[in-house]
Amino acid sequence: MNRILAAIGLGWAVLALAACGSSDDKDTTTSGAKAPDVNAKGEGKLNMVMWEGYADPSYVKQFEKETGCQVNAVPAGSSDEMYTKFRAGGGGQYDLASFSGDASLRAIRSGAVAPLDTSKLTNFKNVAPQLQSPSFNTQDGQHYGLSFVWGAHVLIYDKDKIKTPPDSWSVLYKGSPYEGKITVPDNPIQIADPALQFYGQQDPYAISQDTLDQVTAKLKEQRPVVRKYWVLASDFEQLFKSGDAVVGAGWPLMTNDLRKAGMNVGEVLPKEGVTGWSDSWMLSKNAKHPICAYKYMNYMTSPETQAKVADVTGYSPANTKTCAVVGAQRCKDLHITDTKYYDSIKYWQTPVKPTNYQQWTDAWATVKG
Amino acid sequence: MSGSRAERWIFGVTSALIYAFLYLPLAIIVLYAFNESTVNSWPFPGFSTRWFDRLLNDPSPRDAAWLSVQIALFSTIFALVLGTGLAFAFARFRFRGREALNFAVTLPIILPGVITGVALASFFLFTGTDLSIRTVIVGHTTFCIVLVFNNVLARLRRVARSQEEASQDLGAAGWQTFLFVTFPSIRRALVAGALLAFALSFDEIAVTFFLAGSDTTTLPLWVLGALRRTRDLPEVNAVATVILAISLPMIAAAAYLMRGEEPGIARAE
Amino acid sequence: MKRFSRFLYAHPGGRLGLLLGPAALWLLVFYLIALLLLLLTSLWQQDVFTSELVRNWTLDNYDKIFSGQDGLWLRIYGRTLLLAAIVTVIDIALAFPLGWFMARVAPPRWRTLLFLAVVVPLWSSILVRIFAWRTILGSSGLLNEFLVDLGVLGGPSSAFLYNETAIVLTWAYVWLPFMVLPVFTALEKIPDSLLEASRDLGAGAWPTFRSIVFPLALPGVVAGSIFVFSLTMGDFVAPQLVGGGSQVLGGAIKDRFGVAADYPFGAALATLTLATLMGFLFVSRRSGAMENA
Repeated sequence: MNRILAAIGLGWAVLALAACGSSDDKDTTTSGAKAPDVNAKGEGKLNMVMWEGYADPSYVKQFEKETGCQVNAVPAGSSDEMYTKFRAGGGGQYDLASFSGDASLRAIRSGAVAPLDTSKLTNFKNVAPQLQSPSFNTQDGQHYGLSFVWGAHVLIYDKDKIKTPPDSWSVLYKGSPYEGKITVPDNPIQIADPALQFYGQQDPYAISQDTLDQVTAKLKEQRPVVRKYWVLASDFEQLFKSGDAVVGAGWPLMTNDLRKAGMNVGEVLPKEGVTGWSDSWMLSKNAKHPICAYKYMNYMTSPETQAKVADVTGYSPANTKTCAVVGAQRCKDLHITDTKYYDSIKYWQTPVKPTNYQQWTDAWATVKG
Repeated sequence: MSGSRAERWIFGVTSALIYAFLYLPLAIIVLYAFNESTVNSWPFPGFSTRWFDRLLNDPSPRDAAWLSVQIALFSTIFALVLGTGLAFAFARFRFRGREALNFAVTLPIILPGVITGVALASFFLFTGTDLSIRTVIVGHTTFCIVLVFNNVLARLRRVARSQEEASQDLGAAGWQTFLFVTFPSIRRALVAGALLAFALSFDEIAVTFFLAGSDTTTLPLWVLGALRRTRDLPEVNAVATVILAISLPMIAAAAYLMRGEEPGIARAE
Repeated sequence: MKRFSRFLYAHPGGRLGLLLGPAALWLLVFYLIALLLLLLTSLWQQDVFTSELVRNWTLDNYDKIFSGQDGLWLRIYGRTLLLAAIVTVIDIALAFPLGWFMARVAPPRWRTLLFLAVVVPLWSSILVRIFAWRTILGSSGLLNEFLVDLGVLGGPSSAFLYNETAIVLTWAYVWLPFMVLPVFTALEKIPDSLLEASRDLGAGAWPTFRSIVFPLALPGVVAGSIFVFSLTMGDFVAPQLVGGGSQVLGGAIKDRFGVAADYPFGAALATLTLATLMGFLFVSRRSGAMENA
């Protein structure tokens, strides 16, 4: 008898659990952005999840001194990770995130981010025109993100070991003279790269199942010649430093770091085309420190800080006034006002159709094996 | 005890090699803590103590270590309370569901941490609880209970109840008997369990990974994060060296406390 | 206070409840119910775009594991089991000589020291120890330099790192103490008289081992194996730091909960791991290794 009762009780508990429990606040009604008074005193703390290099001591220390907001910056290795961390446990963990285009819409759609009040964003008017209201952070006229930096995925190579600069992405695939010393990112979004570069997909984030299958086959072919798939920026740098890899697909941040460590590396944008990312700062709907968050966003988009960020990461700043700070040559190198260059990059987006991100993730799992 | 000379020689050499295998990475860690450069090549360019200097001035591993200590302390205390009670229940009473409960309490430590971590993460997602130091403590306590339980139970089974009965016959109140008779006899088991629980909690990564909030950077999580920043790699080696240096006296203390007991703290049942 | 004390004295049930209650309740809520939730999550779905949990009941996740993607997940499952088995065997092979030395060959006064010497590595950060293997096995690392200097290799080989061999080696290293300790404990308990009798009856080393030592040490071996197997199946650190592309269960689960949010599928993988290990536990209980001291 006792056992029957226990079983019934357990059954009820299961059903009750299934029925209740909290769900995310699905309030996606955009009732206009109401920013706090940015000039008020900050809350004293700021939690962020962002890409490596976006909270470097070289500029964060000054921010902390000026505003009293102690910065707690947690890095993420991929958009997936950033999105997952941001949403974990109630969504109040982090105030800000530096979402790339492939996570920004997911954040908006899931109601995790709050609309921004551009009147409180002091540098908004100086952001490059194509970055003020791009579709990946502005929906229905509401701004959910403040564009911050952007850049392209580059082909990085060890100049000491490779004398002529490679000019094609095929140097990362089967048939390359550097087989076994290649490194590429461990990220499903990478499927877009060969789709663009070898299968002529001008919109590489909207590919058919057939193309996905073809790309998957090519990536499977590539697998044996890859030394290691890098997950973290330091993975990439370590591989180069130890000589385990001599060529790879990476970010300008790595070129910067490796050169600072004394390595002779080169960076090229091969002819088949490049993917890239355009990052926006986004504010959590349940942010606990919104004043500090706004202050940080304004600080990070000021020309002086943008120049420092470019020094650390090598990425291109969104604020066009940065040119005045860095000088004409660097302005040109960073393509700050070069809209043609900006347009040539295929920025990360979340694939939705014909094939969606879940299918890409599954395909990537098949490639890795 | 000792076999022939050949037996001693063969086993001795083999064991020495195995010990060498066990300690090689430790030696590498300590060695590379003095590596001048951030490239982990062999041999490395030069000696330097700059990473230890860095460590002295870097608050983040210290903060992380302090957080780990706090979490370990709380988890150990909770585990002591819960595990001791449980051990007494098992030693002194007969009840239904004994075997099942015994099994349940061992599960968290036998099953991999990733399962505990992921299960509790789902649980907290469900209840909408923010991930924080509290959620980590919950996770750690869960697998620490059995460590105290096993040790105290083993001890209780060997302790004669006659002393307790005598104490009560002599008129001592319940709590007096516990404090002056029972407790001293299980003290060593409590300490052994507590040390084990503390050690396991301090270095835990799998469960912690899924239950840590944005401001819950324990020392292992700090190490995981530091492994992402190439510039900081040798500092990680320095941190590990310091941990080792600090724990050696603690292990010595544990050894002293456990002398006379059978070595076998990691009872796997 | 006295009344409470008297109440407890008179009501053994109350005493039992007080002693048992807290721990039982804790385990029920924070472990058993959590595991149940994990199981439930594996039966739900998630929104493809926002990764939000959607409570539609479905067996899709299990379908994916058992028949999806050309058997990819079954391969990963099988690979994890195989690697775990290899690591367990290696650790048993290393634990026996060491355990025997500690228990029967070395002078008794060394025993505590030897025992602690096995435990000490556990007190250094596991992450750093795993990372140290990256340093040892890399192209410019210790092993390659050693072999090149010896002339065994012409140049540094990339065969030691970022593959399954590296993972197995690292795992065997990290979990070895967990096998040595129970094996040592079991070997220590073997009565001298048995071994003497065996010798007196003319049995050599191997028959003695096979008929006396191994069977008596078996509970320790089983206990150690459970630990090593379980730890291996759940680990995600070593595969990430020293592994290559091929995935294992622990890494796949961690990815789905910590990196790419796919909680339902991750929960299904976790449930599969859980079921496998519970299976092993039930089988091993028969050998008595699970009996409490």
